Amino acid sequence: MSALGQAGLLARRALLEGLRTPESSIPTLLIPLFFLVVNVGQAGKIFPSSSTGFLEGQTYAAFQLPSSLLLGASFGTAALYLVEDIEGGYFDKLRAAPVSRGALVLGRLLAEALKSVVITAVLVLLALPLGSTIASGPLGFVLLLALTALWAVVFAGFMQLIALKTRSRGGD
Amino acid sequence: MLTTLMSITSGTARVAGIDVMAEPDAARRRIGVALQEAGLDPRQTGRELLVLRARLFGSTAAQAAARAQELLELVELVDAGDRRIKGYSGGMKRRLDLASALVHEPEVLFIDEPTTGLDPASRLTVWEEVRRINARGTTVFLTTQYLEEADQLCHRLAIIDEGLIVREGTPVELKAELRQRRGLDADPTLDEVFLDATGRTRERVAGEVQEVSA
Repeated sequence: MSALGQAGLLARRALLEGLRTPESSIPTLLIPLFFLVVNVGQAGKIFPSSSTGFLEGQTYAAFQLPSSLLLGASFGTAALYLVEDIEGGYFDKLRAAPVSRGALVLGRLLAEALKSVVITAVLVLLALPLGSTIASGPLGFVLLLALTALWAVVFAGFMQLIALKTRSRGGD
Repeated sequence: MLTTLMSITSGTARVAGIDVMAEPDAARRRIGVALQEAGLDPRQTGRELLVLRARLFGSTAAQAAARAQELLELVELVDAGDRRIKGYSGGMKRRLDLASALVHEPEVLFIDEPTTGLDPASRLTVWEEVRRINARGTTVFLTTQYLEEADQLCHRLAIIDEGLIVREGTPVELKAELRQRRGLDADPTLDEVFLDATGRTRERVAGEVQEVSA
């Protein structure tokens, strides 16, 4: 089986793991949403678009949304699960199988990209009633999803690097 | 090192005729590994774990499903197969772990202290499992601290002390040798063989323990 196929299998496992622990995804959605609503509601009054230069005529929600999206994309839990695998011995099991070493890391990153796409889409949909629009149209929306997913992958990859180096969740 | 989990510092090692340094993936296809701590994913079901593992070893989805069913039957976990591993007992986890080491029908199965921390009933079930695996033609390489376990399960055993093999043979041979040398009336236990081989007497061991507690 190709390394990509293996990565796909491991990504599927990582996604199932996320679905079975929905509580781990709730903060990823709620915290960016909280800041979106609070900042748009309050800071939006301080910076009316008519008199605020950096908004360039758009609403404050349009300014706030991207940072909320990146916040959401930076909550990846991949590294925590990886550490659990390492501490629980499952990671050694995977290593004792003829699995490409790249696939072990890539699998989780793929899953993280998919999760990020879903979370970004949900956040954007929830932000629409707050007055943000997707100025660049459907294609821009797809690009937005892709770029945010890429951010999530890089961030999760960095956290996985730390997880693999330290091999523990810290504090013990 | 033999299971390719650690790098070899010097020299070479071959398992089932394959150099584990030069061809780790080829070696991994021939060996199964069940480590001391059952390394399982608590969020998967037993069946999912076996299917994933079979697929990582190159089976198609259909083959993997069939193999998972076969293995669940072998370790008597069919009923629990679709429950999450989180809820399994220690003995069930150990049996599933054994099954997961067997998905690719390895020639050699490494088992590290399979019954540490198990109650006597679970221990007997695991022993029975190991015997069954062995009887089906798999070489079992078992490490254990319980010499009674070695006595029960092993055809050939080696005692390692400070990294060196100090005794090697069948349990019967080892016991007979000590009996003859000491002129004992009855066969000694393997524990006594171990103490003799490692040069530790019961007295000295007891003394060491007292020093520690003092």
